[in-house]
Amino acid sequence: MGLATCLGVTKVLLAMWVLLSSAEWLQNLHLLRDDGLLSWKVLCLRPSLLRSLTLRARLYSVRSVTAVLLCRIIAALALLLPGANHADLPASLLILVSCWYLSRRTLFGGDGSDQMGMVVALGVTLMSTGLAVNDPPLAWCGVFAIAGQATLAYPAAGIAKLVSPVWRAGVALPGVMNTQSHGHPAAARIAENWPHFSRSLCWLIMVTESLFPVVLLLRHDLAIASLACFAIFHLANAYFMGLNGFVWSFLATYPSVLAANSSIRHFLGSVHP
Amino acid sequence: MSPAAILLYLLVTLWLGTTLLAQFRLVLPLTSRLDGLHLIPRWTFFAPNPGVRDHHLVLRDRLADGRLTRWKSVPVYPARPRFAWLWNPHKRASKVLSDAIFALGFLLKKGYVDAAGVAFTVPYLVLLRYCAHAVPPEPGATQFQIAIVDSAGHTQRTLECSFLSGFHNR
Repeated sequence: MGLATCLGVTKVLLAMWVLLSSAEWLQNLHLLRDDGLLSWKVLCLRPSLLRSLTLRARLYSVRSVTAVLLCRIIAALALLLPGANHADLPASLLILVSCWYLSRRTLFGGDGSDQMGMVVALGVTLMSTGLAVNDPPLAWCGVFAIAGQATLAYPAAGIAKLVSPVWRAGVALPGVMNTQSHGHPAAARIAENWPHFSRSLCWLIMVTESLFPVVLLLRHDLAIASLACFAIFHLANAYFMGLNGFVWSFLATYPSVLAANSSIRHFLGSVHP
Repeated sequence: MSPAAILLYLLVTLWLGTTLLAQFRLVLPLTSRLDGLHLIPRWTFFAPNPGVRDHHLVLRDRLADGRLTRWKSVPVYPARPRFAWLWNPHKRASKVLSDAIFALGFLLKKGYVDAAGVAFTVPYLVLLRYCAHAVPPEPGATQFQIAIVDSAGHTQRTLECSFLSGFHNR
């Protein structure tokens, strides 16, 4: 996959994640009010923030957060413009800064999709910078950053599960499905009635997540097929666990993984044009 | 390759290396201390021990004559909508609650604070302040107390109190 195509697809997926996440935060502004769970009157008491309190109170007010979210939405719409263009760099940079801002403001409530969204925003910023200054190696650094974090993320999740007795015994998945926050009644019933099935599913998740780096070495069509399977995994997580943000932010890493796959296979001499 | 590109490759490699180290619990306190900008992700989702319980907040008042009211549920987030796979804003409130409760448990478990000191921590104050605003005081209430109740299951739920606060003035 070429750099321009990689950037073109990545920025659209990043934009989708930003639109979803920003719209959901706008729906959650009540959490940031003085009587909400993320009241700044309490969160400003973090020792690292006990300076310039008046300035920070303005910087992190509900009004400021709303303004940041609206700017993020405009930036995401700019990223949806087709092809690489001059809007990509400022838009992705703004999204990156807003990720830090929201993470700093909220302290609690962030999830893995926010982390990966920030990674992708950083990668798109580097890619756009490289293309803007006509420095392809610099642009490839963005691909390296995104593909590198994706290649760390899946095995880290898989190996952390592999070393866990509850995952190896196959009781983790039924346990999670049995909660209202991340579970699903039908999935919980299936897991309870077919324990062998849920144990096999636990092992399937652990092994496939751990083996994600192999995608970098596979033939291109097999790499695409493997990533399609991981995409189905995220869609299943969205349906059964309500983890909708992961779909967009993790799928946004796949163009970079495919670009890295092409580079690595080219480097190893296994691509025969 | 330009000097800027070389520098960026070095920085990204350092970032990836630090991210790798941050996945290990032993190194995590060190990387967390260095991560003022929240740049270093942790990818160990639902592992090693996934959350298998839902958390709920409850509150009761102490009246001027010393009597205690019944526990009242503190509303935090509604049930997950049918189209949560597409649109799920309520997951934030649920995650804030579980993060704050996890932080509270972590501080107590690691001995960073004792039972008396916990009332001065940010996660405790987050929960306390929210409960105080979410549930209006009973007439004549002078103090209130909150508790965290854990549950599991969709229909037949088992309940367990995992934390009980002290009394605080209304």
